[in-house]
Amino acid sequence: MTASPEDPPEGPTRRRRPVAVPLAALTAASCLAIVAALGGLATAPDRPPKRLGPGATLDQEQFSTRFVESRTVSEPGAFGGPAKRLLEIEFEVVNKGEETASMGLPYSGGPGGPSFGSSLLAITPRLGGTYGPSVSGPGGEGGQLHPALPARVVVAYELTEGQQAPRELTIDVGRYEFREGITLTPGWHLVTKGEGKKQRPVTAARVTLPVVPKGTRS
Amino acid sequence: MSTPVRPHPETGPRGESREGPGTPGRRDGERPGRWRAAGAVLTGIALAVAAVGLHAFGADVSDHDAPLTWTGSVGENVTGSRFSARVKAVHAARSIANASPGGSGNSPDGQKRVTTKGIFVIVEVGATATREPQRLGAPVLLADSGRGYEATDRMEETSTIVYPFVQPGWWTEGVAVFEIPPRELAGSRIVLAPQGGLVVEPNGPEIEIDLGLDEEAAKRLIAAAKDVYTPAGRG
Repeated sequence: MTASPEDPPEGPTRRRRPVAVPLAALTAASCLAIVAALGGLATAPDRPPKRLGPGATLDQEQFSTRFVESRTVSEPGAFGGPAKRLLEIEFEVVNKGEETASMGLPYSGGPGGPSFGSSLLAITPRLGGTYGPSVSGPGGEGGQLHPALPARVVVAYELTEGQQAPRELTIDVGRYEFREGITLTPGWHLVTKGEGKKQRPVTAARVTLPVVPKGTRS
Repeated sequence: MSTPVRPHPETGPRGESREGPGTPGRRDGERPGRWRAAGAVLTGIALAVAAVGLHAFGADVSDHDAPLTWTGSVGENVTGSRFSARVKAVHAARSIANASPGGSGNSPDGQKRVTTKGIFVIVEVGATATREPQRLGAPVLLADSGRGYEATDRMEETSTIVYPFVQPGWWTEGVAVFEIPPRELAGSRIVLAPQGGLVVEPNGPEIEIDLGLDEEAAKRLIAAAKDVYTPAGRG
């Protein structure tokens, strides 16, 4: 930085122009102009959801989920009442998180809840039923997913009288990520895109399951 | 940083200016300033490093709301600020026989069996309140791996410690039942806390009791697991 006093007085230092900085600025400005002219930087397009079938396993970060099957069964009614016809979707889920999670109901809007069920973003064709689905362990018991302990999750829709079960089901499944922030409870949240009211979970996989008739369960 | 000192073209080849040899040269006067600048830069870097370090390794947001924990071991009465707790015994079982609510899926003796892919751990606990009657929230079994297992919901709640009110003056006894992979039993602890409200209470009390199970003891406990555990207090 400091020229030594030994430099010849008529040294070339005097005439050296600072060119690097203006040149860099010019390059940066032109790059910016080109990018702007081409339409600016956009986020990369989302990866298309994976297509999975029965028996496939999806890594949802918080859960490792196997799509076992989808079936129709009829169950004898309680207290000798009429038999119930159910459409069930069965999953085998391992909670890879550090804490007990809940099975929870399928996704119903917004950024989604912290349960496994929330990652079932859409089930097509839509199965209404009077009360929506029940989500529990086999036999209707339990709603927890303990860490590192594989569990069966059954999503069951009650079919109304005369309602035809679809031949196959397609389930849009989301993925979780561990996030923490000032306004956010640290924990697992569905991977979403969009802001505010447009915030929607991202579909990680689209799973198609044939609906297998399984007869009567005792 | 420093202004380059260029020899004036009109001065001699050694760059000595009109300043006489007696007057202090500019470069000599610059020295303390340079050291000060270096000191300031170093201080700045040190502060930045400290800030980054504090952010990375210091207490984070979740630590501010962390509960206050009293710890103890099996057989000990552990007194927290709002309640006291103790662990009397620990058992293991492969299935639980709940009272049948009637309906489908029952065995003929009026029981409904629940089984597990892991093992059921039954912890006999007692609790007493310091002043106010209260109920306990779902107990958690904290494994050595850092995983937390909430008490199972597949056990009828009326037989567990979560159900009765814990009163001051006497000990309320009950069980906490967990469903865990057998390998998580060694080194585990049970965590009890009052039932939370709608608003999460920061720095609420909790009592953590070490079940005192090393690898050997855990293995023995699992080997001695009962096939069926029948909750007490049922007629």
